[in-house]
This record gives sequence, structure tokens and C-alpha cells, in this order.
Amino acid sequence: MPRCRRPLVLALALVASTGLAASAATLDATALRLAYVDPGAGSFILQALVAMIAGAVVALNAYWKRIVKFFRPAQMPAHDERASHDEKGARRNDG
Amino acid sequence: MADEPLGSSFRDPSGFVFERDGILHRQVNPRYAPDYDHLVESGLYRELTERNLLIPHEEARGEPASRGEAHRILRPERVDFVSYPYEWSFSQLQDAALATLQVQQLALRFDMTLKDASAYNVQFHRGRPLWIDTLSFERYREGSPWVGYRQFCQHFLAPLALMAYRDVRLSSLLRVHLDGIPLDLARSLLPARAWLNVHLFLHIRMHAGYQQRYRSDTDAAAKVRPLSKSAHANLIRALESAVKRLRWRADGTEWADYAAGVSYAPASHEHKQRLVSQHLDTLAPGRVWDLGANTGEFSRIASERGIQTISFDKDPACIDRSYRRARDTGESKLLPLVLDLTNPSPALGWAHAERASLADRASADALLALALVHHLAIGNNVPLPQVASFFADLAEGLIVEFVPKSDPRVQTMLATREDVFPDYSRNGFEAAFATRFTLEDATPLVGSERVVYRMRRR
Repeated sequence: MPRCRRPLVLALALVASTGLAASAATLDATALRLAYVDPGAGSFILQALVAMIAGAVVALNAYWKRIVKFFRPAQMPAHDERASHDEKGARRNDG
Repeated sequence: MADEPLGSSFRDPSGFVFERDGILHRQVNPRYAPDYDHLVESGLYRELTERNLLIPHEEARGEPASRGEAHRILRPERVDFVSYPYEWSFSQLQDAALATLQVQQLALRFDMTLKDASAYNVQFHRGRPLWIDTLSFERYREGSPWVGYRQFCQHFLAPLALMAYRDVRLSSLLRVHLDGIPLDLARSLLPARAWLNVHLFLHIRMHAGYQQRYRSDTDAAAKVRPLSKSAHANLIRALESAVKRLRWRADGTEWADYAAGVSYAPASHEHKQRLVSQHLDTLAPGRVWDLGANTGEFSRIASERGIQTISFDKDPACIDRSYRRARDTGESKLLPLVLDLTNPSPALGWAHAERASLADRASADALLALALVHHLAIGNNVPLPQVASFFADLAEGLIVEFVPKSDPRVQTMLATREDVFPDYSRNGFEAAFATRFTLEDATPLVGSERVVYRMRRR
């Protein structure tokens, strides 16, 4: 099942990297001074928090999808798709 | 000097835009050379231009610098008409925001980042929004947060949220605040229910709080946390879903149902379409401006002939509808814009030169002014000779409709006020316009007392 695991792994990696970055030492202050328009100190500081929340949401979404997938009867959409395709084909033959 | 930098091109030391012999050039200063070279050599430039997200340019080898030394002189493709965010409808601003985020996402993939996120760096070109500032890209430094985050929220997210949650007319705040709507102002104007939207709570409410808190903190730089590249990508994705989630329904504005409402017989309508087509063929303009265009029905008679057409109306609902139709059907010759003709966009910004007024920006070869003159002359008390003068300043050719006082539309306008318009008659109209135009054709509309004219400036 590598296909369904991919979003989870991706999400975990995202969260981990966000967390790692946030726990590391603060950024070299020159980054703030290199911008030609004022990026805003508050806007700079907030980003770590926003990115972390976004990462968590991505992870939760992936978990949620996995749970839904677990309880949902398997392969329904593929079956539906084939059915409608067949129907179209049949109609074409009629025409 | 002939090739002075354009009035809006002074902030970024990386380079500037200037006009030489009527051709637009962009000088790349030596200090920006490593970033420019990375943009081109990394393949990002190619990727962005192939996806129609960045204006293409050619390098003008041998072209002398405008001032100082130049790393390169570029000749960017010219945008048909420069429009400003305060002239865009909700969907236009939303699409411009999404284009900006797409640009930033791609830039990150090529180890670059946008160093600004000003809505003025986006223009509508052949129907689609694209980034026009080639010098906005800088090499990504590991751990660096997004410099453009504040601007993105102020230029895009705050106005979109205000339009969606409070009132669509608040986009006019962009005309006052050229660096985007201050977030504390957006916070105080948004209704409480906006904070149920977690994106707006974070990017506007908390963002405004953080800005206030660290504004006078001299030690703020030390408190900035590094942002890994994947976290950076998460931030952009979060902004993307924030923008995509905002919706505005074009209901309940003044004109949204105007075209559908009873106005005049279908026969007159068809006659008007025929006349407009014929007059356009006679005038053969390269560029048409349709003033008071509503949802752009008559503009499309021009744009479908391959004429570069701008469709102006003051109603944001009409413009939004017209834009979405143009976008969804891939119309490339039509640009709908929100504009109140009784108060057209003025010159704005530093030294009145950053954002040009409508009249200074461009002109048209022909104007369409259908069912418009009574709104200006009676609705806004503008004397007819001044209406004629205004039109003559904008274009050489004119297709204009006169709606007499006996028309139900004008009757409604005069129902609750004194008729102080003794000259508002067909004769008065022709006399007023004859001072600036040659009246080439006057055809009464079938089944109506309205008259459609074709005129040419004297």
C-alpha cells in the first residue's frame, strides 16, 4: 500500500522539519535586514507559527483520510468510474 | 533625459524600468547580477514564462545603460493596458493572488523566492494574470522566512476578506493605501464571523497583533525563527487555501440584473448590435474602450473582432461576471475593469507619479458609450459639452447612444427631482458634440426614441 502511505509520510516529514527548524537557534538577523522593503518584524516572527499550524493541518488531514479509507468499502470509486464509462460506450454504440 | 525611470520604478535598487524611443526597457543593476543569472540559468525563468506566470523579455545586448552601469538591459513584452488592483473585481484580485502564490511555489522549487508580493507586480495580459517584475526574484537562503508575507496579506488577503465578509466596495481602500490595506484596519473592519475562518484569524487578526507587538521592539530580529523550506512551502499552501476559500456572490448590486431587466424591445436591441458592428467596421479601431459596459455584451462585439477591448463599469458585480466569463471561455482580447467614470482613477503615490491616472495611462482609438450619456448628464449633472470634451480627450472615434427625456430610464431619473436640463434634447446633444466631433452617422433605433451616432474627433 505505498500509495496510501505517501501523504502520511510526507505530512510527518513536513511537521518534523517545521518543528526542527523552530527548535533550532534563531535565524541570522541579517535575513531581516537584506529585504529592500520592510518585511515587518511581527510578520517575520508569525510565519514560524503559521507554518507549523499549516503543517499540523496537513498531517491531520492525511491521518483523517487514512481513517476514512480504513472504514470505507474498498475500490468503490474505481468501479463507479468503469460503470459510467461502459454506459457511455453503450450509448455511443446505440447512436 | 529621454529615458528617465518610470515614476513607479524607484524602490528596488536591483534595477528599474525606463522608456527609450517608445520601447519599454528594464535595467538590471550589477548588484542584482547573481540573482538575475540564477533566475535564467536555473530554468526558473523558462518555467515561469512557459506557464504564462511571468512576462517574457529579451535581453538587449549592446543597448546602453540608462544610468550608471548595467548588468543587462531587458526588453519585456509590453502589457496591453496597465491596470491597478483598485480597478479589479473580486475574482480578478483573487486570481492575481493565486498567480502570485504559484510564482512563489515555483520559485522555491528552483531555490529562489519572491522578495516582494505587491499586487502592482501583477498585470492582466491576454486575459490572464501574470507577474511583471522580473527583478522580484532572489536566491533562497536556507531558513529565511518569506519577505513578501506582510505584503501578500496586505495587498491580497485583507482586501479579499473585506470584500467577501464586509462589503465588496471596500476594494476602494486599495486606492488610499498603496502598500495594501493595513492589517489593523482590516481587523477592525471585518465582522466577528470572519474570525471563524481560521485562515483569516491567523493571517489577519493574529498577524495584526504581532505587527503591533513587535513594531517598536529593537530586539525583534533576534526573535525571528528560521523557517525550513518545507515549512515555507506549507505557509504558501496555507495562503493558497485561505485565498481559494473566500467567495463573493455578485448579488444585490445596482446593475447586476440590468441587462436582464426590461429596457427596450428585442428588435431595438438587435438593431443596436447591428449598428455597433457596422460602426466598428467603419472606424476600424485597434483599441476600444467601452464606457459603462455593464457585463460587456457590446464590448464583445469589438473583442470578438480581434480588437483589444477594455470594458469599464462602476458595478463590481457586472465586471466580476464579465471577467469570469472571459476567463472561463479563454477570451484574450477583453479586459473588464471596475471604474466610476464620474471619478476615474487619479494619479497616485509619490510625486503623483507612481500610479498613473486613467487618462495618462493610455488612450483608445474608439469609445463605445451606449446608454451612458444620461447617467453622466442627468445622473451626475455634467453639462453635455463637458461630456463631449471628456470623450474627445480619450479617443478619436466614438459610437454613442443618445437616450431622450421621454425614455422610461430617464423618466425614472427625473421622477424625484427638478428638471434642470433644458439643453438635454437631441438637438442640444448634437450641438454640444459637434464642437469636438464630426457627426458621421445618426440612426434612430427601431422601436425606440433612442439614437445611435458614429462620430470622429475634429
